[in-house]
Amino acid sequence: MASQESDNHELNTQTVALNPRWGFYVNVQSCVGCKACQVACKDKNNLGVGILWRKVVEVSGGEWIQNGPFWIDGSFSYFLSTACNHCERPICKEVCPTQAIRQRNDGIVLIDNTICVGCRYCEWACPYSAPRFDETAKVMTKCNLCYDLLDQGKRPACVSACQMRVLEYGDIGALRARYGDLDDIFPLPERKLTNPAVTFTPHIQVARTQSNRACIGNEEEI
Amino acid sequence: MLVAHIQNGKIVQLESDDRDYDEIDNPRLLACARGKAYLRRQYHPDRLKYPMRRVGKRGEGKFQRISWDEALETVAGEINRIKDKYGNGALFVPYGTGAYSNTNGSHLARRLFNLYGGHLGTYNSYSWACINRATPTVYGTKITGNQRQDWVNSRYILMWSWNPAEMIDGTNSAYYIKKARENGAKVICIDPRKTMSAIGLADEWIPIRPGTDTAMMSAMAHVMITENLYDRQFVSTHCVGFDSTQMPENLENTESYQDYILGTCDEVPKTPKWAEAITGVPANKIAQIAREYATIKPAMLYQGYGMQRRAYGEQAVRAGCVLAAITGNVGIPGGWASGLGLQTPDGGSLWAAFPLGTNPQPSIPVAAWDQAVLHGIEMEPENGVVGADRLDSNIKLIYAVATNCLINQHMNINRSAKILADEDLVEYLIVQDQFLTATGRFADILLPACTAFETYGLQDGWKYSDGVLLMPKLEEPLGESKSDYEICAGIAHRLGIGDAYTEGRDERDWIEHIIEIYRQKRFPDIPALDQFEASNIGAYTVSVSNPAIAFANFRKDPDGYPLNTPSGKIEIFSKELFAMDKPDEIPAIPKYIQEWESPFGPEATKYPLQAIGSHTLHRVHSTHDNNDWLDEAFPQRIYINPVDAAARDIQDGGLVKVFNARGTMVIPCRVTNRMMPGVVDIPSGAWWTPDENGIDRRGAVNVLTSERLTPLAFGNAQHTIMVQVEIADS
Amino acid sequence: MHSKEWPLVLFTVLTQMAVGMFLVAEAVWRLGTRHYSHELVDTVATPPLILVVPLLIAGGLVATAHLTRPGRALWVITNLKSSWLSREMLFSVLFGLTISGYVFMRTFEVGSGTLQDGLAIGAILSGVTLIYGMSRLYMLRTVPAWNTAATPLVFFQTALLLGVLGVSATLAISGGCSSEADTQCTLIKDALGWTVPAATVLAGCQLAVIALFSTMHFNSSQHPWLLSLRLVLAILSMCLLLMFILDDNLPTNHCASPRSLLIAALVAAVLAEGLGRYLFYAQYQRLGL
Repeated sequence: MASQESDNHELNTQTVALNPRWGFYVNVQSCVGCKACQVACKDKNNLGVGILWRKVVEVSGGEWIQNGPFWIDGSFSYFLSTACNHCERPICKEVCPTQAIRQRNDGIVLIDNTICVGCRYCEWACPYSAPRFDETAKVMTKCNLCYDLLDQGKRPACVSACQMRVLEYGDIGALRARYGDLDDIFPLPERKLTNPAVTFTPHIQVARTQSNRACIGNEEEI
Repeated sequence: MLVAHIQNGKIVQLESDDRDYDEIDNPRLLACARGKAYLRRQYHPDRLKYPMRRVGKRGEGKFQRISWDEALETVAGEINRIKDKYGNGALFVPYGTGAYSNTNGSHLARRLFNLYGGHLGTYNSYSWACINRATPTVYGTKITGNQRQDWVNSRYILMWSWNPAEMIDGTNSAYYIKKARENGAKVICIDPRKTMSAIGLADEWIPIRPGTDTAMMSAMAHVMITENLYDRQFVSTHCVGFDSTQMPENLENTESYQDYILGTCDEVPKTPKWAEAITGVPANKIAQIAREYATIKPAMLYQGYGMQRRAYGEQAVRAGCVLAAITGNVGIPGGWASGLGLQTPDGGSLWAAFPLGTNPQPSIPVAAWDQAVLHGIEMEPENGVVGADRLDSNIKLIYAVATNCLINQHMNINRSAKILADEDLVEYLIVQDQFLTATGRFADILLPACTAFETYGLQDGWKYSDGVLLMPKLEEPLGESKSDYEICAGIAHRLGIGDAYTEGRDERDWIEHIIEIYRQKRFPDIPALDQFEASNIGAYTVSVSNPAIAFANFRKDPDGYPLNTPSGKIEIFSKELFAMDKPDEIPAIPKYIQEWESPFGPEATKYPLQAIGSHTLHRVHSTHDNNDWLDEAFPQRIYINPVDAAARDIQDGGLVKVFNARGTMVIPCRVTNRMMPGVVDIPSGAWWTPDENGIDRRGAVNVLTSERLTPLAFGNAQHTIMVQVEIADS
Repeated sequence: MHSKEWPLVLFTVLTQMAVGMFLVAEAVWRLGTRHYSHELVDTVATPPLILVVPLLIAGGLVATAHLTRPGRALWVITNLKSSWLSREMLFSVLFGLTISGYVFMRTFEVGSGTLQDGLAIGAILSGVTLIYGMSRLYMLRTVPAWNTAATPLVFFQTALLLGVLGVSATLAISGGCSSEADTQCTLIKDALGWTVPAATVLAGCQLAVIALFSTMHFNSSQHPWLLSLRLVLAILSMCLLLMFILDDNLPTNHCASPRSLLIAALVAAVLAEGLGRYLFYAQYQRLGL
């Protein structure tokens, strides 16, 4: 159901004047996990059930500790909204045998679904679970950063929908300058793998990475 | 707000408020996931497309297509038959909020019956019965809320059983809390669940055993009194009943609030240690919250409604109001008086401005309809009847519009299903909806209603209303479906009151009329409909840069601006409640009372877990349960702590059986640290789906809930239930 | 990838066996022709060579079925610049072409010796590169369990073990052993004289690989029963080979029960490798989400 049949035609119409390198920023601290971004994305791109270009990971860790007759909460939780991070070294593009995955000059990584053979190799490789298989069309699909809206000077659908105003987009250099360059918050991998164009403000309860037995609490939803 | 993109007469995308301006005086009105996923509902293949009459047994769900003419003739005939045989008091329109847009909704049916001699009326709501009833016993009004833009002035916010991130509570409420936090407020969430609000909005989560909020509040008062942290000055000038010096005339020796807290009469001081054993919150944590709330000024104790849909919900409401009062947080910017919190100065939303006419018939609490079906003629004011000493008739005809309340959202589904299946009790049941809901399956006749996209509508937001949303007609009604207004008008014509009902207006004319009502009552500058529509702004909002503060005048001059209470002051002790003479269940001062189903009662041996039915972003009550995008985002699960799961060998994702004496369900579970041990959550609103053995397979929490009503408000106490959970084989 | 493991297991194991059989059959042919006539060596060394083609075709069919848009299959060799999958596909095609040509020429005795040698060298190079490429495909930097030198080692071990066993079994089956064909018997005996010990050593390697992977403990602990079964099959395969070697009757009568020993050893080894490959896929655990 993904409606990006014309991605390949857009590959040549790149904005040269401003030369932004697009990326996302999420303030994880104040994300309530409401999934308005996820659903807005599905609505904008008309994605069937099972195809999540943007999804919200619930991270959970720690444990309840018994103290006499009481249980004391020693756990933590946070929500991480994540989509394709339009990496500087997109491993999906690297491994794709067909050249269906291409990257615009502004960093947006696109799948040309007229070429994709549906081998799902990119799905194996991507450490962000960004490429999603469309069982109906038998091709891979993924976030295209709403380049059609960006090209009109509008916000991407997910950013526009964020009720808490914690999800932003912009030139990744500018976003990093403003918010720092934390991009490997659990469960996301080290930057060096693909150099993602994303940055986060971490949740108050968690510094970085896998401390305190962090795990994904909503595997079935992502 | 939703912005619809239309292609070839169909809506293809729903954007939200796309204004650039987004400051807190008038922020963008951003829809939640339910609004964004609305097209999956709008174009759902199961939409009802034509009228149908029942062909099988009632409740079997078998229907046959009929024409609108036949449908309306039949309905009008049944209304006349019941009215003639039993009187207008046998006609009933149940609580229904499945549509709320002036020209769609249950009020359309109320107007119809009112113009035809009336019907058994209702008061209360399933949402906030106790807080609605109890707030005025303290403050003499329900309008206790500062305008929401003031929240950012608070330094300390207790979100007590309040979860704006999930139940929303007015578009942007969670966003205002985020803004308050950015301004330096410390935010605490007190809830048995680590809610989305607890995770994304709060600095600290205090898990508390459900139904014990009053115990914790009492212990907080104990800390404030014994450590002299309360606002002595404010209490002495603005409150009554705090201590023995403030008791009403002739009741000087009655137990005051301070007497109760210190244990003067019952010899049980309500210390944090005492509360710790009841609430499960460590004593030092209770003391910390008490000290912080009493000393960080200004502070808000915001009461959500979950804690008052309980056995003695009235007590928690009153206790919270008392804490707000004795800490002096009433009538100041950044403070909050607690209680219902309708917005000052005018009470906020008009909800439905569509004129209902007047109903000469008596009223019952909404949640007591089952009693009125079974033995209405025995119901008296003692059972909540208002406007008569006794009802004339049992309920014999139900016209259910935009509601899944009768089966799905009312307590004890298995019982309700038996009641409705008996055709000698309710003789005729009309259900008017967009889908065949669990309630619809019991209909004698099904009338297909169109959605808000298919007719004209207008709505103010939630209770914090700084504007109205126009809902223009964007496409033709699906199939033969019609607006609730048009259906009711059709029935009215057949009852001979068509002109009185319509006043010659169609839906759009009514919206034009209703905009005028808003202009007179709330928004003098609101544009007329033509202009509103032409500008395509969707929402008319007003900027609020100087938010109004509830009780500001009373605070400045309590004698000059007395409250509407018997004493004119904040009633920590209520003479009105004292006069009811039921101190065990309706004490005159707020007290912790052990609930009728509790982990401390004998029922806990068989059913050791407390169950709550939270509000999920999947649904608005039961609306959207069949929305696949939302089911994907928020699948229906029972949430259980790893400690309770391990004790039962339950694995995350496994099927479990949840049951008590009233019913059983089998659903998958989610094992999560986000529930406190001893408590499970089954998000409310899933559509009851019984299998051949009567076991619900979808997770409708109301198969487990009790129909017993609260003592003062006659409110539903759905969260007061105990259950057992086991591994299920299939 | 979960539901797609078995087709991939089949594809990789069959393809690797095909390459391995080709290499071993070619070795048998080259070594045999030093001492025996071309015609005689052809009678024993061509059947296993011919078997390579159906194995490859079977593997290729499974692989194509695994593509969800087989109609666009030609696109898959367009990203040679960076995709090991593209490269693998290219090497598959090259190997398929060279091996088919070579088998055709050998079977129907057409083409000059030089051309045949040329094709053989091409097939050897593309076959070896194919197995290497196949292993590189899995060496994704986001999948640490696969991204080790063990992956190419295992793939080559599979190719050689199944190749040498496949050839041994084919030799034992195809070689008629009547008294009139004494020289053929000797030839087969000679060939088995080195292929079976080689197979035994490689089967030992298989055990070492299992031990290695168990200690690397990636995800094999999730499937203790499969792992145990694999171990049993590998040991069984090696025992059967040892029985073959140690059987005193062998030099004089290798044609009756010993034949079943070799076939049984091959079957056990194929199953063990198939299970091993399944466990390899089960180790898939990507970094990140």
